[in-house]
Amino acid sequence: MKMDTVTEAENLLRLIKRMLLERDYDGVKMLFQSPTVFAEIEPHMAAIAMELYNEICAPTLTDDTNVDDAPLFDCVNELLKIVARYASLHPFMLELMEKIEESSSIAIFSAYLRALQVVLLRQGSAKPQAIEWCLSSVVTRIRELPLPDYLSEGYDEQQAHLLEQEQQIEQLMAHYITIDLCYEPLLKAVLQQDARAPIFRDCGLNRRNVLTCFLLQLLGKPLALLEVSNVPKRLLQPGQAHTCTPSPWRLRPELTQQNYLLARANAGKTQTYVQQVQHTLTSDITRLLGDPYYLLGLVEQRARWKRRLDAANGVYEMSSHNMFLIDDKLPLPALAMYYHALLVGQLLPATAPKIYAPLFLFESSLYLVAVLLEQPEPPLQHCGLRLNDYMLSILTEAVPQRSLDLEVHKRYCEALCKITGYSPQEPLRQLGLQVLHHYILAFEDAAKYFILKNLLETLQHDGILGYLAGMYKDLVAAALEKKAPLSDVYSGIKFRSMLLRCVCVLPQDVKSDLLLHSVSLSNALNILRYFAMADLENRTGFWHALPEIEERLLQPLGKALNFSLAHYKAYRERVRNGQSASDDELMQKQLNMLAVNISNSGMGGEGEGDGNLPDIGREEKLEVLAGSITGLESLRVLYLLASDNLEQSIARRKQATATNTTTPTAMELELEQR
Amino acid sequence: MSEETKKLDLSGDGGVLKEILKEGTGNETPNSGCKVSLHYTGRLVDGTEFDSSVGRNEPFEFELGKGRVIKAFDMGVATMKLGERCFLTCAPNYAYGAAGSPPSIPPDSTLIFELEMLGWKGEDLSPNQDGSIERTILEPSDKKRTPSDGAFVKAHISGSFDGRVFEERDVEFDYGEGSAIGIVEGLELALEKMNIGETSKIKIHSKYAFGAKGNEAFKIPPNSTIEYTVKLIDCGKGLEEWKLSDSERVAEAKVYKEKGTNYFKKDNFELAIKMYNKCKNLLPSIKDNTSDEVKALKVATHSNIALCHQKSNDHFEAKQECNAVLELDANNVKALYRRGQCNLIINELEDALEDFQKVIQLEPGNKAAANHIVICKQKIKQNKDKEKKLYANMFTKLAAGDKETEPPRETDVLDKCGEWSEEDAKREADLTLERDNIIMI
Repeated sequence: MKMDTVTEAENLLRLIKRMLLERDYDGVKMLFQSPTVFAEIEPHMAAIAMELYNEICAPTLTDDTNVDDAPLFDCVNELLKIVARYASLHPFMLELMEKIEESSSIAIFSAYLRALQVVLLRQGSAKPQAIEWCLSSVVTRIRELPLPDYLSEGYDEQQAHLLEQEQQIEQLMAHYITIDLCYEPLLKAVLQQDARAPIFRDCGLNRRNVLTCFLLQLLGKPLALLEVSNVPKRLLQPGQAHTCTPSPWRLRPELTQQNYLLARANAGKTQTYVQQVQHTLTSDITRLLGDPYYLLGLVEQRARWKRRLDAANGVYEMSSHNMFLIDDKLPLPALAMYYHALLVGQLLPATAPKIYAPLFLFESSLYLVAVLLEQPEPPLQHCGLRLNDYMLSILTEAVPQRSLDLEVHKRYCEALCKITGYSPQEPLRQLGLQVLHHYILAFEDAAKYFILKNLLETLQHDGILGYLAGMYKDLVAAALEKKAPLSDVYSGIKFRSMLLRCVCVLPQDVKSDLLLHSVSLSNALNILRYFAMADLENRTGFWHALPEIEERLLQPLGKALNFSLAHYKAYRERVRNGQSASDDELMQKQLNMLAVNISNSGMGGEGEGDGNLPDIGREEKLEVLAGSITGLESLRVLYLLASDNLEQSIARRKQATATNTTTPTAMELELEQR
Repeated sequence: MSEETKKLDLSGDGGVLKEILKEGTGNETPNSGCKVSLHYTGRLVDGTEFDSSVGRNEPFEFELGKGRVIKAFDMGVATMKLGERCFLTCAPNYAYGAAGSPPSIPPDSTLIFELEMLGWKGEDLSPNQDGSIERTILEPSDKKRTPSDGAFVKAHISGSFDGRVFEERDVEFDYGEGSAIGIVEGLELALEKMNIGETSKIKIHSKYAFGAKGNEAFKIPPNSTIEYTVKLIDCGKGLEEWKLSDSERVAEAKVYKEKGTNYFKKDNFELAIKMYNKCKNLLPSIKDNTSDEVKALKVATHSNIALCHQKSNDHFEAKQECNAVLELDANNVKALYRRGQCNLIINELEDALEDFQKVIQLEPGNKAAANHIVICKQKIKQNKDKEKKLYANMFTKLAAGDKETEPPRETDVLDKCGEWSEEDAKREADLTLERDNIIMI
């Protein structure tokens, strides 16, 4: 009897092979589709499944067959799905994992993925590790797909519109869409069959968590690089001055995403594949999680306290009983992209909990923002900025200073200032500055001062230094407009310290390179002009600090301006007379600076590299020198204006003192006593 | 009794009122830091439901008292017993304030929550999340600073086992070096997550406490779970490596080297290695900084780590460190000598001999190295003799195979009792080889 069964199974295998050889594909289909025939052959399927796979499916499912003999490919593709129902589960899983990772085209990938779908459903909720390994082979394949270089280098608006026309990206999206189709039944099964723990969530290795981590991994790179609406609207026009009035975006989260939503609305009729895939993945993750903010609560634990591996106590990378704390299973950039899609992309379901404190959401998300900003790819950095802008907009009250004890603020500021100062993408630099502005304004006064002072003391970028100094001036100016006594961070000792140590600074005294520090020096002079005219009553204590400012900034700056102008003018003369060989090194240095500026402004970037420009001609030299001289002269004009304003105000204050015998303000008394 | 009087004023200003619908069981309520699981439904005063965990069909979990939820929620939940159901009426300043949370919660909204407490558990601080270190916050702190590696820590600790206090003291140490003053590992791990000013109860399983040995002095039996009540009084900031210039790095590295040496003198090799490693990691890379001082420090640190490993009988690790020294300074006598010692112990005799010979080359008068050369040579000779015997046995066996044509003798089982058969000899030879291999590996 047993012998008969073996023979029948062998016959069946031979029959299928012969039918395929004879190209009788309909006949093969009939075998499995006709209920009566199938009832007869089904008992033998388990016996021949692996042979069917090894002898027919694996050798046939190739790109060559797909191109040369599509009907055969399709037939075997269907056969593979049937084999998946009967093959020995774990050996077949291993085969599929290998084939998926090595698949050379979407056709092969989807053929094996269909089989994987069947296998995963057969596996049920037992042995989640097996499911995890299968799914990770899918992620591996996706990560290895070739992509155009510009995705990681950053792309402009025009390129963004055409992203999906690119063949490699089209392939990538085809893979993602196939994966969506593959896991759908598994998701349904998990949601229906896997009961949740009655009181506390089970964060261990189970089918639900494995699927959640898999979907989250898919949201990371490379999908994250395709954030099609990542080109920000230019909100701050060149030359436009910033103000310190509360941001109009505050308290209105929907406005912070205006551009994004607009893009979505525009794409409403024909939503891009990227958007569709993102939408599906995000919604499915949320369905699995229940509370979409749940993972945000674990972010601090992940990012703030690094797990120390300790073999003696069995602490290894993968040994945590909480799956969501393992970096390989849940990479933070991917998690950040989930919250980006959820919040910035407005995919948060209406049922999401509303009782979380905005400050907690802001602080927790800051870890993710920092992670995104630290990524080298501009599209991810942009997502970080936008997520940050959103989280700032939901704050309902000022962030307290104690929040700054969290290390993440420093990490965030560093990453943000790096992007703002040095990103090759101009829109990123602009948005970075805007977000930095919003971020500082979100804090209470003492914390604003603390951040500004720390940034001014540690940053090197002259432009940002100038901007931040201007921000402090704006904050003091806003406080001056109110009649209430000034906060201690806008007056007295702290004001003086900020002015002397951070704002009115000439780094190398008379020898300072004025062109290198021109932005911060111009800002410093303007700030002096402002206080000279706006604080005649000395509410801030500005007039007490003035003698020291004169000594540390104004006097050496005056001399330095004279020296520099004389030097550059003489140099220009020598160039004109053809006697400038000895000065060319300096010229080269300046040109190198110029090259960095060019690459910063996103105009090309070719200036980078060996850091040297080829020798330039006489005319170009004269042009550069003319630019330098103009820069220095503008600074001198500002310097003269500032000196003038100060003199006038000093005179006015003397007049006022002479005519008005008012008692000195409390602030003045305090300072005089000190 | 009027309806108003049934409401408990939790905030003291009428901002958070609680009305119990169903009494809970027991007397316990969750402490700050506990993970709480409950069902809630939030409504506006006009009855509009804006949020509900019941609707999501899953309990809501959060860590109590950490500002994760709106103030009223933290306040109300902290007073609930197991199984209790209540209404919580929250004024806007304890909820979403003047801004509200559009569109579902309008500005200045008073919110009414219906809560049902399902359970709570202590916060799991263990690295593997296996419940081996569990915290319950007794006195929360709104400060956010926590000790980081290398930071100064000042705390008051009180350890108890089975309801008996076995130690109570003030401690001051640099984070990461707690073991030097008898701080158990679990407690140090927990301290890393405590805010300044916080008092917590930490339950520590034996593997992060006194382990399988227990502690005789404290009368703690093996494999015991203990409990500490800790107040983190103060902590400094850890070293901000990224801020340091090369010279500052070198200065800090010297501090750690000094610490390592102190621990070495106290025979605390584990901490000594930890400190030397910190020193090593702080030093600028040789590629970026070619100064003699940095190189000398690197050499000394690796050399000291090697010695610590030797003292701890970790000769493979010690050898690795010696290799690192010799990469920097190929003629370092100490490192050569130590590597020779390690090689000798791990039975890499030829290598050991080579190392000691190089020492003699560099320092012809080094008696210790000369002695070791003699030992090495002796051992090598012994090994060779052993091998010879083995091969001889093997050949005997092979020769025996050739003689198989001879007719088998009638054997008496008792004949061979207590004697080694050729097969036994072969097996023994194989085993010896195996053993040698094991040693060599």
